[in-house]
Amino acid sequence: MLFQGNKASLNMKNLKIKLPFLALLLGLGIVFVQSAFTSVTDKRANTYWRYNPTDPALSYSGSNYSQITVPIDQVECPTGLDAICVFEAPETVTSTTLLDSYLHTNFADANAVNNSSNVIRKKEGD
Amino acid sequence: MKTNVFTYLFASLLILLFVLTGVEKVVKFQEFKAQMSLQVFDKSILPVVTYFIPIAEIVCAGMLLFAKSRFAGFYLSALLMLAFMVYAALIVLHLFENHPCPCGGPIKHMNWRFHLVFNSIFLLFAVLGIIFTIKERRLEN
Repeated sequence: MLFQGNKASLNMKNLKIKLPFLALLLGLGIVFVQSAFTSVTDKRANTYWRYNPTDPALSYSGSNYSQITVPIDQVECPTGLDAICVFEAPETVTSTTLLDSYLHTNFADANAVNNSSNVIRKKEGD
Repeated sequence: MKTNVFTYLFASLLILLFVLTGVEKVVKFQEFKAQMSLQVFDKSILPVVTYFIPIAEIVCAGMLLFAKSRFAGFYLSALLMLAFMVYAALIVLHLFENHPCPCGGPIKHMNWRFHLVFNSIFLLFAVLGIIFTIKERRLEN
């Protein structure tokens, strides 16, 4: 009975010591599995739009955007007002008309568009 | 040194959090960098903050892994969580403009209010980890 008690105590001690390392492995596993499953779909699922005006108040209209066909980090975001530069939209948004519809469906106004998580990059403020 | 099970538990939870957030920031660094550029930081300190945060999170997770560095790891965790908490609080109080959270792991799906509560809980874990470690050292002596 004493030997079994000591064995249980040792197992508990080993588990306690291993717990931080298990947490590390779990965290790494989650990050890499998540990356593996989302990276491909992210690339295929989204379209990217360059906002052309410098006035952020005009971001609610799809006609003020032009679709980006180069890698996002190659898009020039010149200095100006602190306005959107690159906006991310779903795969189905393939024209400025559809973008306009998407903006009006999903956002209340230009302010909501400017502050949304769809904004990938912003123009540099003065 | 005999270590309380809660010390290991708090260390493990903090390791899990920092690995999820820190490693994801490194894996998706360009996206993190773009999101950080939308925050309220001055342009002069932005590069420093952008590189510091994921490095600090990963270093912290590493320190919490080992008994010899765990106490310092708890301290660094508490400082990091306090800094994140203060930033989230300033946004919730509308003192800073509300920007999308450049966060990794589960936190990116939270709004700023929930983020504040979440950070408070993990700050508590870090502080309790410090307290328990100090008590264990005193008992040892």
